[in-house]
Amino acid sequence: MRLLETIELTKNFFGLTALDKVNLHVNKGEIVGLIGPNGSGKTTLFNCATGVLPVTGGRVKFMGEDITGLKTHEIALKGLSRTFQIIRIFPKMTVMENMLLSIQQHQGERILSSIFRTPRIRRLEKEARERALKLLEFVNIDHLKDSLAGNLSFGQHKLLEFIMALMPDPEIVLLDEPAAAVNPTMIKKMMDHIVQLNKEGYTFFIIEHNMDVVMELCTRVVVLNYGEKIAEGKPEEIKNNDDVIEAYFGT
Amino acid sequence: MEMFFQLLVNGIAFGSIYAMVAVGLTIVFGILEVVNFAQGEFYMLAAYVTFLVYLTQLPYPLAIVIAVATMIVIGLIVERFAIRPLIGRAWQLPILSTLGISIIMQNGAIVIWTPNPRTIIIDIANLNIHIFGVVIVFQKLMIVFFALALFIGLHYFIQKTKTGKAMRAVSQNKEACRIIGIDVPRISSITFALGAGLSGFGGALVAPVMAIHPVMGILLVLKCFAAVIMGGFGNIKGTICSAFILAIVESFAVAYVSLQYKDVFAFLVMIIILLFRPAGIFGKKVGI
Amino acid sequence: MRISRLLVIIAVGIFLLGIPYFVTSSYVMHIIIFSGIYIIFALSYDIVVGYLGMLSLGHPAFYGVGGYTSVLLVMKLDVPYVIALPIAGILALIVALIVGFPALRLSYHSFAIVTLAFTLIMRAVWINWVSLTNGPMGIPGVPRPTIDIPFLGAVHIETLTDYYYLILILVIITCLFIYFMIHSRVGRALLSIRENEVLAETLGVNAFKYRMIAFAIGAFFAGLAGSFTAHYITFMGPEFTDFYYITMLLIMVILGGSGTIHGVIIGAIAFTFIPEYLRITPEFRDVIYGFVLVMTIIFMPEGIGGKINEIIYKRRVRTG
Repeated sequence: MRLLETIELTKNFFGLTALDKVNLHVNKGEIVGLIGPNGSGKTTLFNCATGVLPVTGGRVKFMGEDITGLKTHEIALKGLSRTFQIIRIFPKMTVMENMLLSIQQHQGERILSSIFRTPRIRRLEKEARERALKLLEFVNIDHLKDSLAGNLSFGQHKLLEFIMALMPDPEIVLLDEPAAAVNPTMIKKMMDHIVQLNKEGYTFFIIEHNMDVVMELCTRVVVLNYGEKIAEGKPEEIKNNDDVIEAYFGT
Repeated sequence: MEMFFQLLVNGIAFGSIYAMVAVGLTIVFGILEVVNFAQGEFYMLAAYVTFLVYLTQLPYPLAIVIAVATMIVIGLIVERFAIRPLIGRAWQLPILSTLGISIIMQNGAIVIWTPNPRTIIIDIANLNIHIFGVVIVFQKLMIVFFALALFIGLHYFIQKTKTGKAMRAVSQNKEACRIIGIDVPRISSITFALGAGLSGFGGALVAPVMAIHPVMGILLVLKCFAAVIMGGFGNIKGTICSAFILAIVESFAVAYVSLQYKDVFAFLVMIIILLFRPAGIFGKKVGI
Repeated sequence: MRISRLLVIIAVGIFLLGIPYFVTSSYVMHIIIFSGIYIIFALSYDIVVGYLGMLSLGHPAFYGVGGYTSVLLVMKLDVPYVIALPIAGILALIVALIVGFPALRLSYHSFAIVTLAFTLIMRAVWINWVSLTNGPMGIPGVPRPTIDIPFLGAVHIETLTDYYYLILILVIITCLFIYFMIHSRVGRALLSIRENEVLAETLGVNAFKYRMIAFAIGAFFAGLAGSFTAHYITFMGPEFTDFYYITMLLIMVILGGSGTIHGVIIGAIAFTFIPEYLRITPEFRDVIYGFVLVMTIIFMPEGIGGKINEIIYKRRVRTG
């Protein structure tokens, strides 16, 4: 089943074409890699898909439904999570608060009952805490749950952001460079987490520069260059594709 | 028909003043990203300085020069001590700081000069000139003339001079400017002083035709904010056009709609425009 | 820990309840009541400025809406005060929703100026709609509140002590509501928008909706404060929307510590008492206010409340 699909997706910035009629899709249960040289439009594609940037042309479909032009929070609530290239967390909130915030909107929101803490809200909050704790244990940072998120190390930030994306039990997770600037041990850990979660049924769509990670992790790879899709296929096919080699190394 | 032209001419004369003050606001916003509430106070203080200098029997043109120079100096002091320490911190802080400065200056003026309005009487300024049945006070013609000269000069300054080019660069990308060695704090000081000077020039020009009082600046600056927002923050041409539009609308609305709500029309126009175009009529421009 | 906390609450409660019995000066009592009004006013302002992180300059207008609403309801339509008071808050809330709908979509700077324009427009309406508001003269002779309590009969609020207990109840309701709001999911969502809007949206937070909610709740409590003031000094006029009130609110909130409840309460009490004992002209007082505002922003932007939090946090870290 096609979870996420872009049809002729186009994005212009002040006359510059960042994405040019890109067609791609991610099936349920896959780990799809999105690669390409710097400035090829990978992050722009994520931003267009999640509604952070308005698209210029084309459509984005999620689980068969057209989500083009929806607001970021509306898309998020449909079950599409993401992380950012530059880590984004709330440094002045505790780790637990960051986790709870990631799920509360997904549980449905009633303003007054939230303020007055009705039994239903208490129950939801308790469930959310339990789930958060489970995920924190999963990546081994549960001992930090009450520290301010700003006091975490870089690697811990990266993990926190990752599990925040998992918190609402999303249909698909978009990861923007999960292995960037991370030490090899950490990369290994991150990859193990992704593989294990994929086995549990999670779908991933990953931007990554580290080719070893892409080759080992991804079931399928899409290559962008100057906003155009130049190749798509299994990792080993991509590795030997002439267009891709040219895009990366020139001729 | 004569009435129509009379109102139009009045609108243009006031539009010139609004535009002078508003351009100062918009360049300060474009370069320092600061909404300067004290801009109207430079206008008010300049009118007082003109008044004080005129009392010493010095000629009016000299009074204008002294008033503008004083405002530039005060502008530099305010920028150095109340704005610069706040650059790069939370966006509300500089606004609040200029608001504080505005309160100090406004109430300081009441303490020093009392709230009673003062007037300067210059015979030539109040000369009535008849053109095709429309009566124009000589000073209003001077206001329009000087305003236009000033805008042309400003355009030349920003487009052609080295400092002007540096200002444009700073308004587009501060980081890049730092890297290529443009002294960003110096440009910020110059910009703020320029804004104060523009406002001061406006104040000195209206001194002979309007009552001078401590709260004359605050209402004006709020209308100028309306012009700045309508024109798109930081967009000089948009701001000037909006200032004239607001002043002309105000002039006609006072005559045909209601005198009581005189000070409200500018805001109503602004709000209606923002409802349809949240970034202003002329849109946000990158840089000044 | 729990018990000591309970004891502190009981002690503070006894102190607050006992104030009318050991404060003998009616002048001091009057200022204490005004402190209560400003606590509500400043806390409601802090929802917008501190927790939402938007600079609204329209707060006095909501205070005015509340005041005029309840005065007109009571005087022209004979509505009982217990009903007029909440309606004053609700009407302020509705006006905030109407103003916020376009204004909260604008940039931060435009929002500040549009809300200021709103204050000036409301002020012009109150001054010029003479048949309803009696124009710049204001409405004198506003009746003192009468509250019907089931089984107890009508309670007439007349003496300073009566007013003190009424404002105490309102202050407690306001503090509790804001405390609960900030520590609920709503508060968490508001904080997330202030800290990083893009990330908040990515996590499913509808930033615009929460801004509307916070802006409207702030207006509601400002409306209550306005209503109480009018029925306390038995007068309602357009001067309640003076620019002076914005300055004062900003000082109370910024110097007190935006985004902290205790700090804002301290700021509100301090700046109700200080001007009363500074025997100087209002203009000179405003010069000092402006100076205090600028100095606070430059040297202590986190305010008194922020400083207190910092000290508590440091001590907690030190003691583990």
